[in-house]
Amino acid sequence: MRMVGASSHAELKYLTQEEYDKVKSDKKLREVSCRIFSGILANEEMEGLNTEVNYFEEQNAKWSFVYPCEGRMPEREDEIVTSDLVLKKLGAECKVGTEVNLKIEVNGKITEKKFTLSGYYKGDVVSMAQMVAVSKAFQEKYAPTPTLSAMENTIDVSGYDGRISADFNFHTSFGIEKQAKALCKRLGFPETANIGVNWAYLGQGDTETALWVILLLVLILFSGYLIIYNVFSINVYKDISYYGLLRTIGTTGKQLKIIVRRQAYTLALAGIPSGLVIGTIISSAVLPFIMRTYNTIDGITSRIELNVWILFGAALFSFITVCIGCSKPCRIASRVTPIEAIQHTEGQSQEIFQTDTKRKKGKAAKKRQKKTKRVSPAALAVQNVQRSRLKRNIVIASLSLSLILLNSVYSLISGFDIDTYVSQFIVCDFSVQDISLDDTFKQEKVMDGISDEFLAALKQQKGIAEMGNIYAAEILPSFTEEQCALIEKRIFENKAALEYITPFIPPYDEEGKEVNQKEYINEIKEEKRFDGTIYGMSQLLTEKLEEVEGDFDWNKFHTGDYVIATRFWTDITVFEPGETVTLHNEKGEEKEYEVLAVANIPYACGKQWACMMEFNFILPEEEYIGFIGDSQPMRTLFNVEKGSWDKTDKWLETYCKAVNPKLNCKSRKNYESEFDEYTQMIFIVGDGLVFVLASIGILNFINTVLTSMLSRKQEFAMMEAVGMSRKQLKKMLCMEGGYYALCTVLISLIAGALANITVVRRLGEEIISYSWKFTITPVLCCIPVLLVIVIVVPMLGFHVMAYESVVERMKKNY
Amino acid sequence: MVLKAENIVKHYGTEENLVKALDGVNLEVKRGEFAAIVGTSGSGKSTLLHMLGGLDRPTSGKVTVDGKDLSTLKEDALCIFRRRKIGFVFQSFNLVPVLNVYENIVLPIQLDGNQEDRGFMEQVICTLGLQDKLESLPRQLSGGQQQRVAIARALASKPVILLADEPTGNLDSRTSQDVLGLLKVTGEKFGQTMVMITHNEAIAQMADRIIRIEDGKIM
Repeated sequence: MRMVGASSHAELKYLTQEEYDKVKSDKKLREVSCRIFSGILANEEMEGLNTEVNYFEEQNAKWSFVYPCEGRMPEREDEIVTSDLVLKKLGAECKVGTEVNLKIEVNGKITEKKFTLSGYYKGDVVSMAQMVAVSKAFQEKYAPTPTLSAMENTIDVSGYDGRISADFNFHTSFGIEKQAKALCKRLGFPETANIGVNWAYLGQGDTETALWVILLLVLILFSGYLIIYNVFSINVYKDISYYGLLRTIGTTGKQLKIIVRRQAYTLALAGIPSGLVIGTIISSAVLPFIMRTYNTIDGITSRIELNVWILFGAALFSFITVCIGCSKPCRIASRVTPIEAIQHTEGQSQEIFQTDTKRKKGKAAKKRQKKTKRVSPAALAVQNVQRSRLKRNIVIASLSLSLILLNSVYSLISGFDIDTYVSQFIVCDFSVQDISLDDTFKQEKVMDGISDEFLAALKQQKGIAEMGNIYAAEILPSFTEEQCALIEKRIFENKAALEYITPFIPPYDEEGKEVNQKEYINEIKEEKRFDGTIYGMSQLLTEKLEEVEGDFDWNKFHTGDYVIATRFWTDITVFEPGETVTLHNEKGEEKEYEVLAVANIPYACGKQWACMMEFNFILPEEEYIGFIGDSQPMRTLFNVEKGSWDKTDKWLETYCKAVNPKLNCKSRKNYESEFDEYTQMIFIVGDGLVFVLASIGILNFINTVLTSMLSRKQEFAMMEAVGMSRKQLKKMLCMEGGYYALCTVLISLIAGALANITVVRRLGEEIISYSWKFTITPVLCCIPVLLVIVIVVPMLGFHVMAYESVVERMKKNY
Repeated sequence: MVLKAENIVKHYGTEENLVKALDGVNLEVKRGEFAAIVGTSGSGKSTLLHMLGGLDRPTSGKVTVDGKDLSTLKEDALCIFRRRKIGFVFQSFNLVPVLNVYENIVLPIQLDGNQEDRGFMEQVICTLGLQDKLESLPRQLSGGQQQRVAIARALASKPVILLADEPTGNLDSRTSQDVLGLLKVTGEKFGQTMVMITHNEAIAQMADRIIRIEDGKIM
């Protein structure tokens, strides 16, 4: 959202006042607020920082992250609000009341005016453009809203000064694209209406994803419920003979219920507030970190606001869970009779421990018999675990869930390929070019910005391992008949190639008539309306070319008789190795070259924009200068030796700032740290979730094991009495733990692998520079940990229990 | 002599709270004998049985079962000794709820890693009238039936001595008679040495010998 610069769901662009009023009156929109484009900032100092001038309604200012953190919105004609970044660039003080001289370009005219700062906001480096907010008075005077509709795309809206952008929110953020289309239909706007959906919200209409999220939430909540339930069960089982005693001396079932409920309330009274406090502390520690990467809060800073309602909701939810969780233990306690209390063993379906449904099924159950099998600690363990199937399933589910999630998070993170990510932006350690090349909004790009002075200064630097230059000249190609025939065959008669062209064909021509695509393409062919760029490259950069086809040999290439042809839209080969192409220079001189290889220029090395019918060629650096004439490089890229990084980085920074501010420097480390921040965030969020789930899983396991051991205390004593040695008992308990571990591992492996192949892979496809790899390593790594947990917990429990002698434990029966 | 207890003393607590549960008990039981220990509640009869069965260790004194001094055995060895040489029948049946009747009966034998003597098992099961219930789970049986399973379990490993602690304590009088009758019959049939604890004089009358205990001493 910070990149888009808006938090509203969608916007309708280039509206007239009449059209805006229509949007505003739509009843199905939750909120509508507008901004009016009123020019761009044209001060010379603003080079490199694209800044728009807009009138914002107050709500819109908040959505657009430009609402002042200090001061107020502009009211008078000479008042503005802008970002601290703009003020810094202008060399003005960041203080309300500061006066600044601005040159604003509106409708092709530059207006110079003195403004007073009525407020400022904290600018965001990642956003595509900085904003200057002006008053309604200024907008009406200098950029009045036109009355001619731009809906049909029949007029040129490149000068859209004064046109209204209506930002709006629907009632839900589900399926925004569909809702937007429906809105246009409702308002009677044509399909060509300029409606923009905030891509930060895209993907939210995916019901499948929503279902997964809900499922996950339900599982977490259910596991939470189970913990509470288990805790109270343990208490009730422990005190069951005490309740029996109370029952004998005349306590009613209702009173027993109240006793257990009181216990629950006392625990909740202490537990819920401490939970809220700890939760708040943790979230306020972790959230700012996430916010730094993904700021989504309306307004200026990523300050965490405590929402009372959320706290209240959380407290209420926990309380309800406690009530539900202790209701069954309450029932057990209230129905207890002295005799039953002393005879209780888990799974031994004494009457009070049966649920109502089980009682009804009692008769049927009597008929059920059990096949005789050999008795051994292992066999007993399996039987024991199956006493309470629901508990077993939930313990296994919650343990598995944390493992599956851990596996997914790990594979998501390990799939992020730092090299692919970085190589999209930079192919060497450093890249220096004219500042206009890195400014997406700059129309005029300087393609020969590297000065001789810079190159000389760079050469004097120590620690430069290798360097290379890229030259580029946009020269319209004029091919021979033979070459044109090749283009006709490989482009105009090629369906795949035409697919690249058609999206660029305008729907209407300059006179407002509908354009016939076939005719349009024919015209291009007949009139040979081709574009092209000739590149010159040093050896270092030819090594970085992508998808090279043909035998590329620098020495052969260096002779000056050869050219490297690039693919049409980086996909379709037009000139194959061995064929000849004729290139022209600006003077009109032509030279024939043989195609040595076909390749694509890495995005980081090229000019970074493309035309519809473009044919680009690469010459070696010397040949380029010889043929095109003396010229300056577009980019200089270089690698440094180990240990020279910081020194070079510092030198470059000062050079680009102080000596030649028209140069911009990008380094590999910039992108690497950007990448790290991104992956770190996923790691923290993902691992946080894994931690919560793992804790729930382990707590559930501990609870289940301890409850079952506690309720089987007498049974164990009896087994010891009839000859089951402690060693065998321990073996049995370990086997029970092992059973949980085995099921958990099996489920995690299968479900983890499936999640990896499906969900993780699909998620990864939406992320740049993600290379999916199949992995179940985290699950395998967790096996020893899991084994330790499932063995140590019952062992400790047994150890505590075995303090008492067999007789003492059996005596509890009497 | 199958069982010999020499000067058994068992004290609980210390100093002021000292409880003398057993105070110098001497007892001998011959092979094939059916002895009943009778005493009021708190007389120390259960404690004595626990000492005789190796479930608890006396403060002083010596218990010898089948010639083996129990005090020389460590916890696990004692446990193994119990499952091979001693059979127990408890007041509250104490069956394993997840095992069926047959599995419960052969539990001590199979825990020992041995194969049960099928012919002998059949005899015991038939004598106790459990042949139709072998695949039932304990919760599907009545109290009397459960106690019969417990008796079968105690007999299964052909122990040198069977110790019964108030075996009819949880049963109504009619079922009690049935169970006691069966206990006596099977004991005689298999030549089983038995020691039974009870507070009920009438029940004790079924035994060959009655031993009275009071305040931790044999009268």
